[in-house]
Amino acid sequence: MTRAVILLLLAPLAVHAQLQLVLVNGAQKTQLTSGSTYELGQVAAGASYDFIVQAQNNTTAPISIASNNPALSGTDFSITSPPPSSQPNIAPGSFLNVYIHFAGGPPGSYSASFQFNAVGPIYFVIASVPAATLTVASPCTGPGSTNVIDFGNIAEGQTAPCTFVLLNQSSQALTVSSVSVTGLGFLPPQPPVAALLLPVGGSSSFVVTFAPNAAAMYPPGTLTIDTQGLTQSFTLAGTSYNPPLSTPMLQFDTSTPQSGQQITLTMAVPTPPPVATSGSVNLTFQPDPSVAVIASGDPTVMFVANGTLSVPFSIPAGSTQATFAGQTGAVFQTGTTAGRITLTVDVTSGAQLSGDAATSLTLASLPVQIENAAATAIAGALNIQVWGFDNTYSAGAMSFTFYDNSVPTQQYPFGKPIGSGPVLADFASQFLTYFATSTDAGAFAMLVTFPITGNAADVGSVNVQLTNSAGTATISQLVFLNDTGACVLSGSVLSCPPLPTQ
Amino acid sequence: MRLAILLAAACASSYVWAQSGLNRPMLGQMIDRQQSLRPVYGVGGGFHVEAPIAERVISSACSRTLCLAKTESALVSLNTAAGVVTPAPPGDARIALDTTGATIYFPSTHQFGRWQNGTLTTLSLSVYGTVLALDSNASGLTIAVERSGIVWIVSANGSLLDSLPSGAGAVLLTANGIVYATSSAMILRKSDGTETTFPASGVTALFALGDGYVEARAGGILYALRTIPGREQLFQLPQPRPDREPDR
Repeated sequence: MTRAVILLLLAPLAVHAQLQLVLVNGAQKTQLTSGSTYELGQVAAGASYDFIVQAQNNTTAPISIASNNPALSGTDFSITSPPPSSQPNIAPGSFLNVYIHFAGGPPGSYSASFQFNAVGPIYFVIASVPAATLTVASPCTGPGSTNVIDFGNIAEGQTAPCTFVLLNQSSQALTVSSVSVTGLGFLPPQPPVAALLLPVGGSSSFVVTFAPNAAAMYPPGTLTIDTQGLTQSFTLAGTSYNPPLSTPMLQFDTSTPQSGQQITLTMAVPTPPPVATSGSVNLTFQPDPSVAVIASGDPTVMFVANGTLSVPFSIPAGSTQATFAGQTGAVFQTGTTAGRITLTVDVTSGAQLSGDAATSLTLASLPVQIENAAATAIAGALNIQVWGFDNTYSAGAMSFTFYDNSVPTQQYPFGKPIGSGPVLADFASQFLTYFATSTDAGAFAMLVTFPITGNAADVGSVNVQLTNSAGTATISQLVFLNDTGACVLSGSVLSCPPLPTQ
Repeated sequence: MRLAILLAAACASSYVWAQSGLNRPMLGQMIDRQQSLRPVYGVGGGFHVEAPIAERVISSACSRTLCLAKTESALVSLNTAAGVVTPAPPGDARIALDTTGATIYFPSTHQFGRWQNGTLTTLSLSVYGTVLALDSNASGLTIAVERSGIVWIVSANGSLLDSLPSGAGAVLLTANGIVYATSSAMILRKSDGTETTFPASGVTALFALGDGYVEARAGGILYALRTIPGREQLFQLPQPRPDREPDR
């Protein structure tokens, strides 16, 4: 009696020591039971099919693998891994995957019997049914045995259309109920395929297009063909890259760039990019070595559109002309310092720059450039004002020749010179001090006051010469105006002296 | 020789320098796209725009010595660090500077006024037509008025002095001539009647930026027209760096 009880208690343990078999069919898992039959579904005639039987050891002890196990029998079925008895056991809590391959064949029903240790037999049934054969034309490749159709690597913004052909190589007419495409970058079949009747030996074609709108490794798409209840799936693969942008050409609206200018920059590419491309054109300024000891830069060198050293550009797909905030050109200031401006191009999206577009402009040293001048006679003094710039930062030496307001003669066409000759002055140190702290680079406003005795109204004009390291600039016949005072309002009539400029 | 220039002093440059100097070249003030008034330094083509000194400016007129800005309800004098604010009729204004003040026309009230030392005095003056611009000069007040599509230049007593071609839009009367805009250009008519044309489309408003400079607004572009005789040229004014949000 005692032995019988012990045997009864052990029996459940022996059951638990059995393997548990699970059919892994894609993402679906099905518990397998000895003596049962499992439908694997349909495959296209001639197509292979692979599935897994997972042997699980859910006990706390290893389970030995019996001799010649696992075992499989059935036409066109085979175990691809592992070979029978290749492992001694399955560890507790572990499992062994058994890979089974169905080689495919003519239309018909195929079955196999599977046994693993004490579990089995288990029967698998698969139907091989007539289906259309899919082929693709260049530039696509596939589908091959992996059912992958590769569209290749194409430039962003380009498209890769591929022609697909469905061919009925079976002995019966087939009806293709639908062909669909999913996946980012892959366009639906054209023309759409629905309720397509393929006679024996007949074929039909459609086009699937890969149209990436950004450079990337695209996740696989899927082409699904439904034929009389059979679903065939094919993986669609494709990648996209940034196409090269031919080296931009930077052009200017002047062939003689110099300081004190506003220059319009235009940018073109020899060949149009296949995709919209954008980036920035950037300015850098390097002062001439003779000036660099005084100034490290020039704050007036800038693009006027935004007051900075960088301006964004865009080139539409298929265009050769860059635009700057909708304008065909970007205006930049050359500043008032001798040196070199370098323009470079950065591309931030779209086609990739294939060459160096850097362009430099040399701004040569110039004599002092005069923008405006005024001479005013006031009580006891003569004021001479000059507005301009010195891009060499070396101005200082000056001379002033005064003329009276006598009637011009052939000998003295500007009036008679006052004094024995030009009045010389050297303001070099003052200019140097000014430029060293200037926020306006080489631009300046100068006021020179000459104390005088006598009647200032007798002074007619002055010639001024300003010299720097690049030469001498002359202001000729700057006429003195009398600063006569305020406007006078009489009734509704306002009378004013002229403004102190010429 | 009745006149004796102190040549010795002049030759001793330090003495001359003690009475003179070098300064930043201030060109005037511009109204930026956000209606802020900003000082402009430098030279033509080499502008340096400073931070705003007044906000919500509708119109302005500036010289090297005085800048008068019109806000919605006041005139603001900006020739000193602390601006003088003078209450004024609402809205836009046409401003003409002279050496001691300004003559102003207020379209909202159709009134002329005289601003001087922070005081606004109404002028008993009226003209027929739409006043577009004013100029105070040695010969008195000159006014640009639009009558039936034609812009006339008239004196304060109504005498016709000149006219502009049909199609003339914005007008500014300056010491260096008349600046007016057509649909595709800005034109400087000098005192001798000769004209210089500068391609610039869409100019809708003109302001006296400073002596010898006119600011022109054309959509997103701000132009500076240099009117200094012999140095006439059209530039673009730098847009301020994008370091501040537009006023709302």
